[in-house]
Amino acid sequence: MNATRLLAAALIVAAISGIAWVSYDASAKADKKPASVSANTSSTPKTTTTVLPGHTNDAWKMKPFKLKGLDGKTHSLDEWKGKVIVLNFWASWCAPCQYEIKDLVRFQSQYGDKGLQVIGLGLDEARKLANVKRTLGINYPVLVGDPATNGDLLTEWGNDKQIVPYTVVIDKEGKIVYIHRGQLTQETFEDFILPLLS
Amino acid sequence: MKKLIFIALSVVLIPLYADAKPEVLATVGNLKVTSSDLEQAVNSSPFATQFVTMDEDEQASLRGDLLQRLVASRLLRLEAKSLGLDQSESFKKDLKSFRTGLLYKIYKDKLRDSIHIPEDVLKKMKNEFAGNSDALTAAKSAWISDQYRQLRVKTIQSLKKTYDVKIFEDRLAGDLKPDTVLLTGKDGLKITYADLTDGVGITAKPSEQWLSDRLYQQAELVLLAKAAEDDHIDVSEKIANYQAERLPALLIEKKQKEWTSDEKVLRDYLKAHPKIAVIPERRHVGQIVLKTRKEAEAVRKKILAGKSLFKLAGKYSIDPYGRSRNGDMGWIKEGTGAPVIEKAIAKLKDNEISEVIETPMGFHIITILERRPGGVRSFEAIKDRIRQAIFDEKLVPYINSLGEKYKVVWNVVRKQETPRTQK
Repeated sequence: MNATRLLAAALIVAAISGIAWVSYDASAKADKKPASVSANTSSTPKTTTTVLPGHTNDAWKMKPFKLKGLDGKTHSLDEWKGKVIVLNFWASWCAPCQYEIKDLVRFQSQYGDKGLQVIGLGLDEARKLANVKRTLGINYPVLVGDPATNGDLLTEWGNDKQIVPYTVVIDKEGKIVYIHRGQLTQETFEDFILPLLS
Repeated sequence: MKKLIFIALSVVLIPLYADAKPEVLATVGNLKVTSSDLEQAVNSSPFATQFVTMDEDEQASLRGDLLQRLVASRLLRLEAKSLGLDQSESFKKDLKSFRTGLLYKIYKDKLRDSIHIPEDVLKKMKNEFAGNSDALTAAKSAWISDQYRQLRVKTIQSLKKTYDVKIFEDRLAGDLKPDTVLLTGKDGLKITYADLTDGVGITAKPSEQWLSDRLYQQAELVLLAKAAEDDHIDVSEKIANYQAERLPALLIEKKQKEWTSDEKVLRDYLKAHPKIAVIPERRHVGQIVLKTRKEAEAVRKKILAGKSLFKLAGKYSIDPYGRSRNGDMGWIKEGTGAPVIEKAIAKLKDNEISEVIETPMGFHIITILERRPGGVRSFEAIKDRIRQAIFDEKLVPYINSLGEKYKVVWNVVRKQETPRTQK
């Protein structure tokens, strides 16, 4: 029966708690230079805790990406230039991502007119992402990133361990001011994102 | 032969907003199942994460399935009450100990929640662990745990004074009877030897050390629960929920005993359903599937001439699963394949190559590498399976009969009705 299979799958998913690790595309990163944690001089801009491989914390100097959105159109990040961008990497099978999305939806509706723009970057099949969007009432754009081909993209954004959820905060000037691993909390939102909106 | 109607329900729900009034989806006697009950059931189910990613029709039918379960559980609750299962001594005792445990837990949580990390300490932590929420959470919990340990000890000491508690630890060394009093206090606070040993499954007298530990555990439990009670912490809703969950389970246990504890009933069932004891033969199968008979006959000739079926399957099989495994289909149970295939391989000797077998999937050539013989299990070995089978058969008509007794009114659209007959 379908429900039994479903249950089995669900139990596997339920076993993943806290931060879920994506373990695809490990080989594709062999040629990448490891990010140096000790590089802490003024010539190597850093975010709160991460040095990005591109050695810049200016989002508009990073290699631009183009991804299809759930709206069927192709988007690039600079469409939202001038807003406080919360770029949220997630996957449909990740329970903490789902909890977090409920909060992100709330933040977007509460602070959207104050310049907040949440962008979901779903690392999953478009169909599943669309179902999550419908069920959780996601009120911000969701871009579709095929997990098999976007390992490099994650690495460029500092997520070489390919963790989801993973969130990058870009201020109105394009500076990457904060990177968060794991589920974003209300407290983190108030501490790191809210001040950028005023 | 009894005819049963299984109704497939499909429930499409509009997402609930905080201020919306939940919709009543079904009434069962005087009980209701609302849309918020259903959403809660979905969210606390093991497939909660998966559910969010499903297509709309899948979600609807899963909701329908859960709704039927919620209705069934209410029917069982009503019947359990009408049979007086909630009045039994053991159930009352069970409720009482659940209540004490709950009050204890709430009081402990309250103590923990009363601890706040001072601003300056918190600021330091946030600086140290910025961007690493897991580490920050861990640091916070460690700080709180430490404070909590101290607070708990202080609280217990002060409660001992408040309730004038006396502990008679020396009595543990003596001759203990179930009613030997080991703790007394104000307002009838009391722990007897029976309170330490009940429900723990003790046969011989436990060691003094074990008893002493247990006495202090119980003392803490009783004291904090008492304090919670005097703080007027209301647990009536949680107790009602517990009762609503336990009563159906109790009735099911009772019915299970009624239906399946008679050995003769089990033996009769086996006589009527001998297949339940049969272990099918298992076969390690190799297979290649081709598109046309012509191709299949040509490939068969090559195999008979010495080419490996497995190598060819890895290259040419049109069955993607088989091709990816070089034609090794693994161990397959007798009776699980298409009838034409079953028939063709029943008489196939090990390592013999079958004739070309046609199915809607294509033209198959099969070989069996090895067989594990089937057999018949003894009655003793399959007793549990028979019990389960009888229970499964009886449960649906039983729930249906309760549905007639207590009247179920559905307020959802039944999208499809699939009548099925069952022997």
